[in-house]
Amino acid sequence: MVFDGIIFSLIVGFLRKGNLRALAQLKLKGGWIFPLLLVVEIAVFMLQNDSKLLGQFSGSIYIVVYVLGLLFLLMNRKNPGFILILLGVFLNFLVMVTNGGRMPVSLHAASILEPGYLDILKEQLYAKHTSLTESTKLGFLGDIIPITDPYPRTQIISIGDVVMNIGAFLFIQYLMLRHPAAKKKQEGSLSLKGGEIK
Amino acid sequence: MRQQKREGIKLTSVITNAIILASMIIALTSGMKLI
Repeated sequence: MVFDGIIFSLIVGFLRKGNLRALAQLKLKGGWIFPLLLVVEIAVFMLQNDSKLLGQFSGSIYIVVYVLGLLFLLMNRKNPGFILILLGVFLNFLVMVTNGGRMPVSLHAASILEPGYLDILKEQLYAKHTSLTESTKLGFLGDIIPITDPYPRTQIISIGDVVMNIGAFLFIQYLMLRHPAAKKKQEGSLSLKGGEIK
Repeated sequence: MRQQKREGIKLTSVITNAIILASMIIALTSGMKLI
């Protein structure tokens, strides 16, 4: 959903005559850590069912990933929209940390997915998720919101994802339209038009 | 030549920042069946 949100934000930004010039001047403190964290997450996703030890510690690894992510967002909170992204990630973190490092998924909501996903969720470790049961704490912050037809990509998201999405949208709009580098480009093209008239 | 080098550096910054933002979103989002 957040991924779709980025594409939507980019389309809106371009429709509003924005540009990606500011992306070249963006300086994010400690940003190098994310490609690394993603590699760690993907490695855990792929190996957690093969290695008992890794399966056992996978929840703790996800918590470390989220703590580092929250620190990064805190360090870069001056960027517009980052406070909302931080809040969304914190909500996801909160429900994960109170449930052993895994995001609870409502089985009722998951019934909109292909049956295979439900079976995997019940029988083995799937990504960073677990089934939402009666013993789940803060279940309302879990993946409980089903998104289906007419939306083209069926999925289940959390309240934290929605908040994150709004923050990402605001950040991308700022980057494409209101960042000094983006404005420079817009002003440049306006003055060029004036020159042509002359 | 210098101009080309400057453009090249800018493109690298764009790609680097795009990778950072995309990996941040994927690593921290929680939705099931996202990709």
